[in-house]
This record gives sequence, C-alpha cells and structure tokens, in this order.
Amino acid sequence: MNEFKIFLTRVLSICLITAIPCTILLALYFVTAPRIAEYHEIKLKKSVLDIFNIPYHTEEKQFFSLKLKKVDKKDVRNVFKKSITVETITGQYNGQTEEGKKVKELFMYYKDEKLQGIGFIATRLGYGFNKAADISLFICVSPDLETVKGIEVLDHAETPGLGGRMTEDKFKKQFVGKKLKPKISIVRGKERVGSNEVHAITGASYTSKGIENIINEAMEIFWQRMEADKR
Amino acid sequence: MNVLARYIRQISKFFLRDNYIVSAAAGLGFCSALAVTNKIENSLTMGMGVVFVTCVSFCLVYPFKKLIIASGTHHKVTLLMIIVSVFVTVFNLIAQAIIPRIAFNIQAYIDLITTNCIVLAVISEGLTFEFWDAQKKILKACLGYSIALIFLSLMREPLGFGTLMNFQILPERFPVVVLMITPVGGFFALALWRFMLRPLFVKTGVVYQESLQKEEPADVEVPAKTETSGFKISRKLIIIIAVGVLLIISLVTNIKAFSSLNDQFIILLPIFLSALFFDGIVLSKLLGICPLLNKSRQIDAAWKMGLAVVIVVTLSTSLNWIVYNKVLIGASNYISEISPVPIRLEKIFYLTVFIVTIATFVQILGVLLRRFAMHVYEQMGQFLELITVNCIVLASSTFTIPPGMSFMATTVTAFGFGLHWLMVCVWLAVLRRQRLFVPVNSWDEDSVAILLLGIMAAIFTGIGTINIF
Repeated sequence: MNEFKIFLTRVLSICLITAIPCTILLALYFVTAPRIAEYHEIKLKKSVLDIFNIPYHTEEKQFFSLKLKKVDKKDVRNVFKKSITVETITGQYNGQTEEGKKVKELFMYYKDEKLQGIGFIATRLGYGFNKAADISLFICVSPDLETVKGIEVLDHAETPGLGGRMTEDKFKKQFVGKKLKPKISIVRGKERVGSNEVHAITGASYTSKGIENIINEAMEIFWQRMEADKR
Repeated sequence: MNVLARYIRQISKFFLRDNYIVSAAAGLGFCSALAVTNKIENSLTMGMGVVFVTCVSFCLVYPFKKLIIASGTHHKVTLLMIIVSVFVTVFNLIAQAIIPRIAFNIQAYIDLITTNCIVLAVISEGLTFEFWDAQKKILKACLGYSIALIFLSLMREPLGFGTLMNFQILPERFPVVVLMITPVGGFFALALWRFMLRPLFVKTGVVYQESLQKEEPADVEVPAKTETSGFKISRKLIIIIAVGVLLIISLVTNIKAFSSLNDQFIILLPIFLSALFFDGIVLSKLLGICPLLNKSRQIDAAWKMGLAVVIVVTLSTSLNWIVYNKVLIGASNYISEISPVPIRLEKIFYLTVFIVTIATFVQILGVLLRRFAMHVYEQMGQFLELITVNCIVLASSTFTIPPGMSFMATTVTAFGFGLHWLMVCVWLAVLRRQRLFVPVNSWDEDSVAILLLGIMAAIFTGIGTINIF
C-alpha cells in the first residue's frame, strides 16, 4: 500500500508541475497558430503566382547594403483571389488506397475569361534519396495538358547541396515549355536535350529519378481524371 | 597589448575549458551539434533554443528540487524530460512564428533539444547548487555549446556553400566542397577542430598527456575479456544476420509471383534499406552519437546496448504511432467539434506525449523483464534505463509519425534505424579494438572515434548514390 502511495504522489506531482508550462503553451499556441498558418498560405500562393507569371506587389528594403525582398501579403491574397479559381475534388478515381482519401485541389488560372493553365500539388513518399520523407511538387501545365508551364518544389528533405539543389532556379527553369507526352525524362551527360528531356542534377541521381517518376505518375492520374471529367 | 592578451586568455578559458563539445571527453550533445551546423543561421537558432529551454525549465524545476531529488534516477530523468519537452514546444512555436524559414529547415532538430544530453546533464547537476550559482553554470555550458556550434558552422558554411550568413564571401568560381555540408562533413569538421585545438588544450592542461606506460596493462587486459564472452555471441549473430539478409534478397527476387505481397515489398524494402544503410540515424541524421561513443569501448557492451536499442526503438515507435494517430488526433477531432476555437492537440503536445509513452514503455519493459527474465534483466537492465534519454528513440518517432507515414512504414523505418545503430556501434567497437593508432588518452580516443565515424559515413553516402534499383 505504501508503495502505491509513493507512486501516486509521484504521478500527481508530475502532473501538477507540468500543468504550469502546459497552460503557457496553450496560450502561446493561440497566439502563434494564425501566423504559422499564414506563412504556409502565403508560401503556397506566392509559388502559384510565380509559376503563372502573375505580377504582384513586392517591397525592397535596404538593410546594411543588403537587398531584402518583402512580399506584400495583402496584395498576394488579392491577386490570388482575382485570377485563380481553386477547384476541390474529393478523389474517387480508381479507389487507390492513400491517394483516394486526400482532397485534391486544382488551381485554374483564367485571364480574360480564358483558361491559361492548370496546376496541382503532387506529394509522394519515398521517391527521393531520403526514402522516409515526402517530396511535394507543384506541377503546372498549360491548357493543352501537355506542355509544362512551371514546376515548384514545395517541400522536401533531401541532402542540402546535392539533392537539395532541386530548389534552385537553374534546375526548375529547364522544365518550362517541355512536352509531357508520352513522358518526361531526366537525362545525364547529354549536351543537347530533346523536347521532353531535362538535365539531371549532378551528383543526385536518386533525386532526379524520383522527380521524374513523381511527375510522370502524377500526370497519368491527372490525365485519367481529366478524361473522366469530360465524359 | 598585455591587457588584450589577458582578456583573450580569460574569455577562451571561460568558453573552452569544460566545453562539452570541443574539450570534454564524454561526447555529450554531439548529435545536434553535428546535424544543424551546415549554416550559421541554423546554429544561431539552435544555440538560442538550448539556452532558452535550459534556463527557463531550470527556473521551473528548482522550487521542486527536494521532491525531484527524492524520487529515483529514472523518475527524475522522466520528469525533467517532460518539462523540457513542453518548453521545447514553446520555443518551437515562437521560432516558427518569428523566423519561419529557418525554423522549418531545422524543425526536426529543434524537437530533439528534448533529448539533448547537455540540457539534462546541466539541469540535474544544477539542482544540487544554489540557484544563482547553478544558473551561472547553466549559462556557461549552454553558451559554450552555442559557441562550439558557431565554430563548426564557420568552417562548414564557407567551404560548403561559399557563403557566410547568406552573403557570398568566396568568389563564384571557387571550388565548393559539397562534402562539407553533407552529414559526413560534420564529423570531419568536428575532428578537425578538435585536432587543431589540441596543442592549446595540452598547453592549458585541459587535456592531460598521460604517460604511455599506463596504457600497457590495459592492453593486456582487454583481449582476454573479449575472448571469453563477447566474441562468441557476436559471431553467431553475424551469421544469423547474414543469413537473414540473404533470405530477404532471395525472397525479393522470387516473390514476384504473389503480386499483392510484392507490392508491399516494393514499398517497404527501399524504406528499410535506406533506413539501414543509406540514410541511417547515426551516419546521415547524426543522432545517438553520445551513447555510441561511450558504449563502443567494449564489443560486449556494444552488442547488448545495440540489441536493447533495436527492441525499444521498434516497439516504442509503433506504440507511439498508435497513441499519436488514435488518441491524440481522435481527441483533437472531438475537441474541435465542441470548442469554438480550433485546437490541434497533435501540434501542441506531440513531444510530451511521445516522451511519456517512451518512459512508460521502458518502465513496463523493465518490470516485465525483472519478473519473467531476471537473467536478461541483469545483462540489459542498466542499458534499458539509459535508453529513455537516447535521442534515437525520440527521433525515430518525430521523424516518421508527424509527417503522416503509415503504420508499417513507421515500424519498418524504426526497425531499420535500430539495426543501423547496432551495426555502427559494433563496427566502431571492433575498429577501436584494433588500435590502428594508439591513442594517448580518452580525449584523443574520442576524437579518433569521430574521425572513424566520418569515414564510415563517407563510405555509406558513397554507396547510397549508386543506383541499385
């Protein structure tokens, strides 16, 4: 009985002591949660706008002879709301296990009542060098559904300096204007590339291969769905 | 001039003597020190985090010092870790709100301040002192840690990226050593710093030059030990592991007949292989180094600790997955239906819950072992107690569960991490036993071990870039 008493007092004391910081934590969460959510929202919207080449307002600040670009958050939101319509589709296609559950969002860009491009997010597990982490790509195609308008890496956990270089503009800019049908391929060591070939990242063959596979598989599913919609 | 020299001497004495990273032999706090230092901004954030978390949680713990000292070691560690984990989450939220870009880069490692050995060591040591004395000691240790981090990144960032605080300092044409910013570079940079500072330490007496005569009796003792108990077990296990690997490979090659099973293998096998070899917890994520350095002095201890780690990591991670996905997310779904403001419990309390689960699990495992297998407990018991503090156990939960991996993937990854730790630990122990070059004292021995780890990491990174599949 005595042992049980000691045990009980210990558990109770742990609970009491941790209750104090936990209340602080809860309070802090309410303060910071909107700001964190805002950061993610702005990041996504900004990359969408960047890909479609829609201008938005940026401020440049001079800071110790250093140029800092600051994004006007309100303007980003306004421009996003004006020019892009977001369609949410609950996936029912094929009934595939994990893909089906996620809600898919299509970002359509209309300019002068005309469709300019469609973009969507493709998130895959285990395609990069780091098999236990997601790679999340924003893929955007023009209305003929074949030509790439741009690609943005939203989230990754690759080695910085090797696979992490896929976030560099030099790699991403290559994709613009490439044909996705029948499939895009990332090649190494070629001087000239064809209309559906892209230079790989040096020293990161796993990552390059992974990006290639993600794009091809995501496009397959995307085309299937678009055809299903037409009918 | 004289005054300046004295100042420099005083400052460097203050920071470098008893510095946990650079000059201490124990190898505490290496994990995060190596992992985040590829950019200066990361190491600044990390240093600030450690200082903040340690000071604030010590302030909270100090009034209850009698109660904490009275409860045994295991309870003390658990209690301290729970409190520390809450403050780590506080810091994490603040960092995410103020400097989101950096915070998301190193978020995984900010979480792991919880199991940072320095924090726990300093707090539990400080409980025996007066409040302000202890606070001074804590500040000294944490600032020393931050300074060591900045030193490391001062070497790694210019060499790796060619930048410093994101300014280009080296010309574009300058050949950049990519190795320095990969995890491999961390080991090399630390070993390099330690060897560069060694003459200074010898001069100031931080590192003692032990006489060579003392080493000889130890040399004679050690081989006798290994032959009696350690080596037989290890040989058997090596054979079992090799047979297992062969079996897996043959299964994979032959299993294509069963398509559903094959699908599972196609997903899970790369995850397992990369957790085991290419993206392992020690050589690529740079965690669990403190117990690795200390337990790899003897091969026998390495095997036992490794086995304990494998068991605890696998089971506690799968338990954590259940707790996180069923209890936490379920509860927060329930709450969000009732309350007007949105609360996601899994974003606030995940660290605390993981820690509580791990501590409870280890406790229960200890009790069970004591009751049913006293023999095993006598061999492994001391290691079990240590494991709660081990970064690997928490890391294999925080790396895999919050991103939303499936149950099988999580368990397989954790199992791979555990096996990887065992492999590296035994390998390092064997390498150290060979005595390729005779270290003079324990400080040198640790530096040599870090260098060996760096070479191992380089080998594995090299293998990982070969495209097998």
